[in-house]
Amino acid sequence: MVTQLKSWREQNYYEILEISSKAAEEEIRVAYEKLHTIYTPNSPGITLFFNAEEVKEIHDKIEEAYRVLRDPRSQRDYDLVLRGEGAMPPAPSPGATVTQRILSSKEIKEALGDAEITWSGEQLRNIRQHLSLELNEVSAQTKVGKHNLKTIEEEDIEVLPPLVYLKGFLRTYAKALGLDPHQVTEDYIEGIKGKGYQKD
Amino acid sequence: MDKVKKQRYIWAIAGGKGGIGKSFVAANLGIALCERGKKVIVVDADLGGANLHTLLGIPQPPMSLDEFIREGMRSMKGVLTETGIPNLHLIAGAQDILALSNPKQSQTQKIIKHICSLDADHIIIDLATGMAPSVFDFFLISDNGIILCTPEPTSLENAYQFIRGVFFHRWMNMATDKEIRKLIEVAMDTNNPEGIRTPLDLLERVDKLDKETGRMLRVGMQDFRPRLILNKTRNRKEAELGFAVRSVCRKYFGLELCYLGHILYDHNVYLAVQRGQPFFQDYPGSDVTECIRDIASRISDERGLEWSLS
Repeated sequence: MVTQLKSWREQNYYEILEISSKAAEEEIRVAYEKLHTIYTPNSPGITLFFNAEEVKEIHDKIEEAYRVLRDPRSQRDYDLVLRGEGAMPPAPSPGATVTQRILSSKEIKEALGDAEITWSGEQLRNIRQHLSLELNEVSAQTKVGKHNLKTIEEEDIEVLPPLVYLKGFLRTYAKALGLDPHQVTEDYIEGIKGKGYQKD
Repeated sequence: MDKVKKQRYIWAIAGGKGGIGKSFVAANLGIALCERGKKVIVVDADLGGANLHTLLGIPQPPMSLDEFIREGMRSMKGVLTETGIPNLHLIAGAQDILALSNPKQSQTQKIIKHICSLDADHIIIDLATGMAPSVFDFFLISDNGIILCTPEPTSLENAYQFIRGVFFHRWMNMATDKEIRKLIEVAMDTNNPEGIRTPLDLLERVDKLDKETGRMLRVGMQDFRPRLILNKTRNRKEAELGFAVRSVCRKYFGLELCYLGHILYDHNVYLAVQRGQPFFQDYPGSDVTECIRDIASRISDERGLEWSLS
């Protein structure tokens, strides 16, 4: 990747994330996580050049770039725009919704400490509490009933819904917390099956 | 890397601040490249405070750049010093400190010309501290000089100042128009009254004077890709600072900086320097030598791969 001599305000999403336009999904995620951590107030190494307002602006631009590039469909639309073949798609709205969150490895570690991550009900609750989210709020955003969320966190295998529903709830809950839905679902199901859950 | 005839890479190591370990890194990176079977020459271009020979365990080098300049020698071969390490030679800095501490432009150019014709796979140049024009000239021998700094804010600040300075110096070397040269000169002062903070600010001003020169200056920076090494890091967080520096260079300077890696802090480095022994020989299995070997592996064959945290 060759950076053109232009202000960060004029950089495209790939340049903002400091990646090639051919970057793979994982590369995009890693770049985002790294920059997301760097452009925070009082972060060492950047304050010599950027004031607090600029840091915030860059941070927001990084978020915006990642929202577009992490989704293959919006990325494809964006690539067309860069090639001059399409209209600029609206960036998925950031809003304050829980569903737009993507937690970095660092944030997960802050919430869970050095514990091994094998997504359990307790770890999901710890993440939610770390994010200062009430079950009511998550329920309102995800349309998953508060009761189901609570049961998931408590791993109450007697009350948990059948597997097909549970998987859907887990994926939605994981997305709302900014976690990898596939990994969360896989770990969680394996964990409760070990405890005797049999509602296949 | 500057490829001339056979593959030959020139790595000039700079850093705005003294005491950050430039000579230590130059000496030991040289040894690490030799371990990989490369023929290496380390050059002490710290003309005002030469001490690279000490870090290689050579108390009194028989010849130096002082003789090369003073005696009008036509080749640097005559001032090559054996280091006792297979395939590693040293060109010592001036012994008479006052003689070359402020080299004339012609002396600098002569040294640069002869460094470029040395016969080696890798030539590592240990530069002086500070931001004198001669230091910038040595740094710009190749497109890929190495900027060394430590995680301290003061060192980072100096590294940024060096990057800014070398950036403008490179443009100064390219520009011919008097008015534009004057503008670049003004911009070199960080507190200039014109309010030119960044290279992009300067380009904007140059464009107003002459768009073609602006275009030429942009093109002239495309191949400029300095490297970064962080020295004396104490933990992962400090090592990650290199990514912040790299990002600032991209977003502020529009400059592609490659982060080669970091070298851990180790008190034994100080002890080895005190003893006047090459660190690699005294601590071949230490974390520090592993860090340096890792960096050597990345630069040894022009792979230039960036360091990444796993």
